[in-house]
Formats: sequence, structure tokens, C-alpha cells
Amino acid sequence: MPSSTSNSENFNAEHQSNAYRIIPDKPFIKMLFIASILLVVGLILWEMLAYKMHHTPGTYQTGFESMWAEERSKLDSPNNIKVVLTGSSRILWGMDIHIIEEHLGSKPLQLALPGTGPALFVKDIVETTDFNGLLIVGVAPFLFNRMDEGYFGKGALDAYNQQSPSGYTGAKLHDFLSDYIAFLDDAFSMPELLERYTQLPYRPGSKKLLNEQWKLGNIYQERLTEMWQPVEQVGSFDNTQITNFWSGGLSRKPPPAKKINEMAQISIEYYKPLIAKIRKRGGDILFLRMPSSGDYLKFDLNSDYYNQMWQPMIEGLDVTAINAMDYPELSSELDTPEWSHLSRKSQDIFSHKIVDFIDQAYQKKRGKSVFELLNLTKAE
Amino acid sequence: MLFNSLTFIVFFIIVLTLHYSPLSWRTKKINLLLASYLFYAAWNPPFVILLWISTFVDWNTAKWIQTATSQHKRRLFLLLSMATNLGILGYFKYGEFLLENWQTLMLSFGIEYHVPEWSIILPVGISFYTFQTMAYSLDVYLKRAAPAKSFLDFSLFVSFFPQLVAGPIVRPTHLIPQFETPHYANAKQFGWGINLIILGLFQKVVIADTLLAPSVEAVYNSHDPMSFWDAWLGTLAFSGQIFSDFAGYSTTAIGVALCLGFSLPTNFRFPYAAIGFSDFWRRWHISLSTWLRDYLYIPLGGNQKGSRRTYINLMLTMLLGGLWHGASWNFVIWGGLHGLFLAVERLLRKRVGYAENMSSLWSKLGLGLLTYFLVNITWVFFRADDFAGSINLISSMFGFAPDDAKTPLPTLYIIEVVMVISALVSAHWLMRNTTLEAVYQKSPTWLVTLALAVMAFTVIITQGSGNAFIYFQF
Repeated sequence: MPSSTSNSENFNAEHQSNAYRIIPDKPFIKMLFIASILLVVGLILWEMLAYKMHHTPGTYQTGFESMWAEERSKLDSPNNIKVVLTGSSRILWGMDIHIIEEHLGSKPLQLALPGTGPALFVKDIVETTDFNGLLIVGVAPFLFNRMDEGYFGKGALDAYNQQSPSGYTGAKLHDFLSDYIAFLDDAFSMPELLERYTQLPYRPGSKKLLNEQWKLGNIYQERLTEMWQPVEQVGSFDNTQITNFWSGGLSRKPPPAKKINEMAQISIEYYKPLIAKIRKRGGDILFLRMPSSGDYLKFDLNSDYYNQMWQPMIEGLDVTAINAMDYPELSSELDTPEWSHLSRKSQDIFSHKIVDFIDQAYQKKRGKSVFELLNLTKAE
Repeated sequence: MLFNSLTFIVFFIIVLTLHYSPLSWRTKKINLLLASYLFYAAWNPPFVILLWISTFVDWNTAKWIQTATSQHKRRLFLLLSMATNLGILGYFKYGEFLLENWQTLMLSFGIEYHVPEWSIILPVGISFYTFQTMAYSLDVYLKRAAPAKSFLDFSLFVSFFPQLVAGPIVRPTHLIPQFETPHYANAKQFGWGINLIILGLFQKVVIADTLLAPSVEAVYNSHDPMSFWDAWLGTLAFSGQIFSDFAGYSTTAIGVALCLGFSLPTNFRFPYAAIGFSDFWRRWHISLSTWLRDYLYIPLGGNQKGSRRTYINLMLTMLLGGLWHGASWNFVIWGGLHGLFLAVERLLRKRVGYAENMSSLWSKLGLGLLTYFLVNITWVFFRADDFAGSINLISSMFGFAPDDAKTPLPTLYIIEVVMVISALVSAHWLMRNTTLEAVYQKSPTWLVTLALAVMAFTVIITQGSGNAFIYFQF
């Protein structure tokens, strides 16, 4: 505070004298014109670089929050949605909703979120909507058993519950422009590129930037998600970056059997009333364990996830379930280039096959076709 | 609505088109008013009602003050205006803070008082527009200004969108007269306005959000003890982030208003080249510091009631200035430290004279760096989540970091912070006795054209994640 001023004699003079700003004397029109040309040239070159680095138009960076919120809100208005997918990234990368629609006769709503357990979302759908179709819950070992908001849960729920009008229009405008401009891909923003590609000596104890900035996939309309092409090349920079990140999490010891049993019990207690509630109104829940390979699979085998967690949970909940690892055509015959997610091609194969598997599993467990549950006619 | 958003670009193009269309001046003012309400409602539509309440109450109380026949009535009407504005501010901003402190106080007397759950959302920029409307009633009461002649002009003054949510806090005598007559930007004003918008967005999107925010978050979002270097780098990064964020908003706001033909006052004048704290407050958030001076410090008596009272007035003003920023004891401490440094400086001045008048460049530089050092110490309280976190960081900054202190900043962040802060502080020193306009005028045209293109390019390729400006929360 300018304490030296102690009276207000010149008050009005002070607040009126600078009413009009001093404007530098420059040829602004000419300058803005030339600057615009330079800007456009720069952006064209930047766009070319984006293409060269496999970033393409149509990728929506808003997919994890704004688009999730938009898809979620479809359940609030009158709808004919028969199937909802939720879970973490494996089911998001594993299911092509258009192929599923071909086989099922109804397009699923994609509500899975990377790095986020399905607990909050299953509860949200069962308790706050009147959805009475089939809720397919993707299971990724241990992440499934997390009951918190995970990486994107809070942002997605905030976007759904309290997105501002400007936030909504901003996301829409961004998605619109993303259909035409490749460099709008979030993973091609300057800060991300700097953190991903700047190779500097590692400072002991500091954040590992390479672990944080990587790109796994592209998100398109209705949250159709597919693996990013460079990640599909095993051993490539982008593929290695991701497997290195997974390795960080997999380097720890698997939880002891006692802890796994406790986690299974918590999950059973959590999901039991939710399954009962959705069944009561004519719907159902199906658990789908998605495939994995490499160190992820080793970790799951070392922890004996199948016997310690999966089986007790399925039995305790009396729920229809498919463990993709039980079927080579849904797992080992498919390609998971970075151990955890299906490649684009394998996603197609998985999506073509999974509806039949769901129907068979449902018939075996509940004694009727899933098409009957959903009032749909099986496509020939 | 954020300046750094696609929504704003569309909004501003529509506003400009309407403003320069062949409509009457009155219709254009109505358009600007509706645009301002839309701008505010884009966050949370119901909160526009608060703007309407402030507008309605202050418009009427100012008229009543003007026509009141006795001083008693004038005071009563002023009280009504203050109670309404401060009541709204108190309820939304300080309600929870007051209740929590009341609970603590009661507990100290052994009385258990349960605080009701407080889930009130803070309306964006409430402190800014509240102070702006209060200035109007106070000016009329103090006979510094007559009430506005037109309700439309007054409504636009309260809600004018370029500076509505984060200032500069504009005085009625500055802005209302501009609404009375048609105002349009000529080519030079429009061109300069666009320059300022690009510069402001560059400060916010590239410097604050991209180059500095990650370091600040790595240090301040952790509750672990930090090493000496990390504590300092995180704090220096915050000094640059908060300046670039806030000055970036002000610069953009001035540019946006200028494109429409209106002038807003300068809010920052290279504050990190300040020599002493009174100099700092002549350069930092000028519209708030002059508001506090005119409507708090001087009415309290300023320096006219003796030495002791001057120090008390200074401290009180700065404590309230701190509290203006947010309902937290950390902000009070931040204000208190600034008050203390101002008081010490005043005391020293009496003995050794004005630091600004020193002839030696080195002594000026030394005092300037001391000021920047102390400003950084105060920023720790401003940014840290709580008092304990502030003390931890301060301890590390003074060399008392524990052996197991964390070093979260990667090499890239360190390079970014060192380069940006060095450039920022150097630029402030090089420009401390001049203005942006003067420097721009002197620079070769090709250079500023190139700089403009590069800034616009980096703003676009940085993309930004639509981060809100830090000062919106105040």
C-alpha cells in the first residue's frame, strides 16, 4: 500500500486523469496482418509435425471427463439404452461399441474410465438412475477392488454434477475443432511434448516425467477408444514408455493372501445390494475380466488373483461372469502390446466375439438368453 | 467464462460485432450489459442474482444519500449499502471461516459447539465487484462523486465483463463517464488492445500455467519436507506464477476493454523491481492498494493522527487486505507481514531517508533484491495450504531442511524456473522506470511483430487446460 499518500485532495484528479490510455504509435494493422501470416504458417508446420508424429484429427481430449459426463447424462433422460459398460481402461480399450451394436442390436453406453475402479459408477447407475438393462463391469485385477475415485473419477463426476455452461460449450467447441485439427490432441500440447521428449539427466528423488506423460490411445465420438498406433509397435519409444510405467507399479510385492481375502469380502459386501437392486427392477450386472499379458499377467498369477479373489467374489455375489483369461480366443490369441490393453485389431476381434460369450455365460448362469433379458432380437 | 477458453473467443467476436454494428448507443450498452451477465452466468447462472442485488441496493442508496436532508440519514443509507455488500461477501466468503473460529473459541472455554455443515460455493470474483460497488456508495457519501445519471450506466459499471471477476477494481469516476457517451476503438486502440490480449494470454497460459505451475504444485501440493533448493525454487516459481497469472488477467482485461473503446487503469507496474514495500504496493495490484488507501487507511486517519496511530492504521489496513484475499489465517499472516514490513520501512525511512533516492545502482539493486526476498517469504503463507505447511517450507528456505527432505523437482522444471524467473525479474528491473507502451514504442516494428506472432503461436500450441485464474477465488 502506498502509505506515503495520506490525503484525498487529488482523489478525483487521480482517478480521472488516466481515463484514456496512452497508445503506442505503430502501424498496428500492418503488424497484425504480418503476425497473422506468420502465425498461420507456424500452425501449418505444427500441424504437419503432428501428422508426422501420428497425431490425427478426431481425437477428443475431453473424453475422460466432459465426454464421460455427457455420456452419463444420457441415462438421465428418456432413453433406449440396454447395455452400459463401466470399469477401467481395459474395457474402454477393449470394446468397439459399434461392433457390439452389430451383434447385440443395441449400442452400449461407454462409461469406463482409465485408472479408476468401477465401484462409484456402479453405485451411481444403480442408485440414481432407473437403468434396467445389462451393466457390464470390466474387471482389472486389484484396480477393480479400489473403492475410491481413482485417477479420473473425481473430474468426471464433477463434470457430470457441476459442469458450468462455459465448461460445456468449451468442451463442445474443442471437440468440434478436433475433428479437423490434429495438433489439438492433448498429447501434442507443448508442455506434454517437452516433458515426453526432453532428455535431461535424472535428478535423484525427483518426479519421473517420462512416467507421467505418455499417450495410450485415441478417443472418438461416444468415447470409442482405440490404441494409439505407435504404442502397438512393441519396443518403440511410446510402447516402452508405457511398459516402464507399468513396471513401476508391478515392482511391488503382490498383496498377501489375507489382504486379498479382505478385499474380496469388501467387494462382495459392496456389490451385493447393488446387484440385488438392479435385478429387482429387471436388469442385471455381468463381470468381465479383461485380458492381460507380460508382467501384468505374471503379477496376477503370482498373487493367485483367480483363486484368491476372482472365484470367491463371483461365488459370493452369484453374478454372471466371464474371465477372458479362460478362453484363448479372448486372451492369449489376441494382441496386448503393452501387456494391459488390446490393440486396435484385437479390439475388433474381441468385440465381434464377446456378445456370444456373454449370451452363453448368461444362459448358463441365469437360465435365459441375454437377448431375452434385454428384449432384443439376436442378429443372424 | 475464462479469457483463456474457446468459449470466450466466440463470445468476444459476437460482442465486438454487436458493438460495431449500426445500433444506437443505448442498445449497445444494453448488449454489453446482457453480455456481462452472460459472461458471469457462464460459471454458475444463479449467482447473477448477487450482481442484481448489489446493483439495485447501491443505485438506490446512493440516490438516497445524495438527497438525504441530514447527516444521520446519509450515514444510515451508507450503512445499508455496506451491510448489504459486506453481508453478501461475509456470508459466501467468510461464513465457514467465522463459524470454525467461533467453534475453536468456544472449545477454549470448554463449550462444545457443533458447526453446521457449510456447503456454500464461493461466487467467482465476489470480492472484486463488491469492492467496486462499495466504492460507488462511499464516493457519493464522501461527496467525491455524484450518483450516476443512468441506471443502465450504473448497472454496466457494476458488471462490465472485462474486469468483473478479477479486476482491475475500477472507480465509478473512471468508468461511468465512459458509458455516458459513445465509445469505440480506433484502429490504433484496437490494434493495441489485441496486442495486450495476446500478451496477457501468453503470461497466463504459457508462463503461469505451463512453465511455472508444475513446479509450484510439485513443491506446495506435497506435505513432505522439502530440500533447501526445492523450497526456494517452488516459492520463486510461485512468485512468477501469481504475477503472470494475475497481471496476465489484468492485461487481457485492459486489452478487451480497449478493443471495445473503453479504458481501464493499469494494475501492475513491474512489482519485482520494487525498492521497499511501499514501492511494491505502488506496483502490485494497484487498484486494490489504492482502494484500501482511499477507503480504509485514510478514513482511519492515515498518517495524520500521530506516529503510533499511523502504524496501527497501516497494520490494520494490511491485515484486512490479507483477509480480502480469502478466509484463512494464512492470508491474515500474509497481510500482517506486509503491514510489518511497511511499518519497519517507515521507521527506517525516518532515520536514513528514502531508499528510492539512493544514487548508487548497487544499493538500489541490493534493496530491491532484499524486497524481492521478503516478498517471496510472504508468498509462502499465501500459497501454502496451512500454517504448518508454511513453517515447514520457511524452515527449509532458511537451511533447516531435515536430512530426508524431498527433491521433487526434475531437471527440466529447474531449468524452466531459473530461466523464467531470471528473465521476469530482469525485465522488471529494466522496465522499472518506464511503461510497457514506451518500451513497445521504442522497439523495432519487425521485432514486436515477430514477438506477437511467437506469443500467439505458443499460446495456441500450449493449448492450456482452461485453468481458472488464481485470483478468481478472491
